[in-house]
Amino acid sequence: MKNVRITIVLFGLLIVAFGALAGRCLFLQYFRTDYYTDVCTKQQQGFINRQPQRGVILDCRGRVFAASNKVQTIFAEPRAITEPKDTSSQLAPIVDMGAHIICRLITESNNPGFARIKTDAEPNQCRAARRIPGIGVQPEWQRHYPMGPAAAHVVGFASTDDRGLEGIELQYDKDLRGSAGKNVFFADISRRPVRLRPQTSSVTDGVGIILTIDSTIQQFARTELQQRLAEYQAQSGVAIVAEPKTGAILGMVSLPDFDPANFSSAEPNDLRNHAITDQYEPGSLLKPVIAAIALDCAVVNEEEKIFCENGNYRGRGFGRIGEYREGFANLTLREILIKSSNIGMAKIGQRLGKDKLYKGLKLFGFGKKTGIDLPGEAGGLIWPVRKWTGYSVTRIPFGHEITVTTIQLVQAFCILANGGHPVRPYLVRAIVDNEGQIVKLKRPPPNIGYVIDPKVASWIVTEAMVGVVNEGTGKRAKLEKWQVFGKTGTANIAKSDEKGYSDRYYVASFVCGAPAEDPAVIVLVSIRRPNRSLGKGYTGGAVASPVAAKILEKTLTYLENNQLFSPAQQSHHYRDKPGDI
Amino acid sequence: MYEFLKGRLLFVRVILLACVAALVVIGIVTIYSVGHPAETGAAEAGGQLADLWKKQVLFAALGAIVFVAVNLISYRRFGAASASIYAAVLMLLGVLLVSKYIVTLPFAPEINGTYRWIRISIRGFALPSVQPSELCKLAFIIALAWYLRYRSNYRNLWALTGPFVLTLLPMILILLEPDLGTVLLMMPILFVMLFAAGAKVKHLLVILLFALLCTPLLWFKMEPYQRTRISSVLLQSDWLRDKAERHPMLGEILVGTRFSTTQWKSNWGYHLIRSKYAVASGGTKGYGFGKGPFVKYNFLPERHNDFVFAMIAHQWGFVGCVGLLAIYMVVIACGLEIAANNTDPFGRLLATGIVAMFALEVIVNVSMTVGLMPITGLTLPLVSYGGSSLVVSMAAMGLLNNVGRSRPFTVAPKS
Repeated sequence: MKNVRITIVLFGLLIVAFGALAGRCLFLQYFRTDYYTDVCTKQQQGFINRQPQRGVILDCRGRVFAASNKVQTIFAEPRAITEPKDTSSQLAPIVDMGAHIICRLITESNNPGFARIKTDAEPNQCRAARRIPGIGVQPEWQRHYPMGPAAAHVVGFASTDDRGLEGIELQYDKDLRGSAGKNVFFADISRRPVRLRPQTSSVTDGVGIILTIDSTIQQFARTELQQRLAEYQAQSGVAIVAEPKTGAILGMVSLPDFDPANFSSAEPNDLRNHAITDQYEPGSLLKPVIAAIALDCAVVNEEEKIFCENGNYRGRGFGRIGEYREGFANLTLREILIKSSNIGMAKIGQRLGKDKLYKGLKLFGFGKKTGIDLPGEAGGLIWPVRKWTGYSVTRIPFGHEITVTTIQLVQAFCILANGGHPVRPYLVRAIVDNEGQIVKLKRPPPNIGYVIDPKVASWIVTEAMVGVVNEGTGKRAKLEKWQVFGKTGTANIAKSDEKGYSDRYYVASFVCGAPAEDPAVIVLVSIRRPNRSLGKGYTGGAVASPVAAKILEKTLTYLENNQLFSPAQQSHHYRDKPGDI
Repeated sequence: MYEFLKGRLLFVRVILLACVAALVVIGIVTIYSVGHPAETGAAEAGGQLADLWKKQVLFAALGAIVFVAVNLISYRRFGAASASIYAAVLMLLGVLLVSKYIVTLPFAPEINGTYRWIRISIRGFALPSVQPSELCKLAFIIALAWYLRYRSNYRNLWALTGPFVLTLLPMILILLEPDLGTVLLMMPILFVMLFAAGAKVKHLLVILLFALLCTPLLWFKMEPYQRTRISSVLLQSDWLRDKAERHPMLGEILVGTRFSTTQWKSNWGYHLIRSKYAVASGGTKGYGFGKGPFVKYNFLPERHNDFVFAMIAHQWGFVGCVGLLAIYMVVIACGLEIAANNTDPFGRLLATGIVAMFALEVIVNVSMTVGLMPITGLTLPLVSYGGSSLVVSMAAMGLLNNVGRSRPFTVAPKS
């Protein structure tokens, strides 16, 4: 009887114990299994990111601005190395680096699976390095900029991990980058890959981008501008070459520049593209635009003489306006532009009135971004009309109380040269995939509508601006072969610390284009703060116009030699024989 | 040859034998699955694990021989010789301690910081190493059963000194090796056997209470790693981990140093977490034979011996777990049946002791695998890899069989 009782007690205890175990198993394996399976899966898989090839950036003739090449990287796997000193001293002669440096790279690596030793290794180095235990070789992409600083501000640059940081590289980063693939693998306890899991994603290489920039024209502009900047010890300079009919930018130089392959050592300020980020008062460069607006609004006509107050115009509400050098008496509109009379322009401004002036400038694209394919563009500034004072309406016509960017000016003159049709500057001609097929063709919109009357635009270009070059402030820009039109600009730089303008610092600008009958190219050169104390001049006519003319001449010659502009256009060049058409 | 089958309780004993055979086969198959197919990649343990199942087959064969051998003579003669067996095992344990504290003997080497194995090689041919502590469990049960067989004077508290001395002597020797798992097993066996022999429950409870009162003292005497193992069971709870991290005192008490969850996950609780993962990810039906991420690549160390249950749970899921526990339950039930059917006090106590040992090993091992008890070095009897453990378990089963088939004394039963 007692035996039985003891047995029953023991058996009862056992059932309780085993029941508890089975219950625990049920809890873990039935109620919590999803949670734990998830955790395990996370722990037991690793990833290898497969990087796509970054797309190329080409100029309009297929020359390479930026491309990614495969380079071999020698790396160490710190967890697999037991004696970092031995490994380093073995590796040192192969990669030609100090053993202590390699040793530090290995021991101080944060990643137990990867410590970069050398990028862009030679094939024989790779072969030798592969034999050392714990050292491996893997391919990586490296970005190259074969043209160096030539178009640095347009092309921009990418970081070492293939992210666009500036310029086109940033603007089109998503297209250029492609999409990375991820290889999922089953990892063992030390996170060494054991085998691949079924893959879900694949690598897509980035697409290529073809720019409107012609690297030859870019070189012309850069060389000329560089020389001039050095000659005048100027602070910075911008040169833009554009096709007025389409808005295509053929060259865009901003100096000082930098080498995109080595951007980290450049001055931060040099990384800025002055052509689109610098906002300044354009000065006289704005006069042809205002004149066009005035003509279009019919507040003035081509024949009318405007009294220019002999160089001293004052009145209530707008203070005193002086001329640049000597005063003038009666001038026609053409003469006002040729002689660059401030008073004449102020009077035209008064005739236009606030609203027409404001609307006209807006139509020409001032006060808002042009939308060019570059990041960081500034919009310039026109105060809204309600903030205007009596000064505004007399100062804006000769380019004060308004700030613009160089690219906005280029746009405005393209509109004038394109017969008053709207033009939008652009930089990307096409996007092409890896087989060379065009994915997206970026065509400028057809000439729809008018900003101003074509007759007015044509008069401004062929009469007034041609006059500037032939008889006025822009004489130095005359070319033998083509009739050039242009306009000088010498703008004071406003003082940053007090009211008024500095009399030492100027922006010397010149915009020109040719041939005047049917403009093929527009060049705008703007040089900031030429050193006036050198005594070589500081005006747009003296500093900027010869450079602009040289760039224009070289560009036209180049285009002509490559039959890049049509015979019809060529025949326009000789104003003496208009009947040749 | 088939002598061992003859006798009483044939049906019970056949079932017992079948279950034992099934468990051994499950063990071999699981050990095989851990090592096959060989791991791809450079895993160090892969090569060793591949051949373990063959060794286990050899041990099983040896175990079968021992099973038959202990049935050749009556179990009572083991009782008569219990003093000498007990002394011999104590001597073996002593030899290990000599090797540890006085002079390192060539046949008792240090393995993983412990002196648990005796390894004899004749002319360069290594015999399987022997773990005296495993032998000790059985020797201690025989000796205790023999000591308790006719006495009824342990009904007062002082009379319990004898059995306790008998237990504490090998316990201390084994504790010094050290082999904590075996030590912890012996005390419960003693209690079960005293209970079965008829000791007063009141006395046993008093002793238990005393032991419980000593626990705090013992706790602070323990090495931090031992403390951590025990507290890890509690530290599975996020709530407690959070508290331990915030209150340095609590952390100090639990793990002997500042507590950090990160370190708990990567170090202190590592084995526990992994084993739980392996069990839980098995789900209801498991990954199937040889499949599942935990079977290879050392995600779960010691998965062929101490944590073999996790492997079974991983491969066969909840169904497999319950199946395995059921087989164990049947073995234990058969053992209790044999114990209850024998009027010979020695046989009864012997059977009870063996069943207690077997059941406790299963409970402790499975509990530590699923995170209910601290991790100790106890194996899952008959299934885990390990020669000494398997052979001793088979011998114990043989003794159980022996008790079961023997005719009890023909004396008049006591009232």
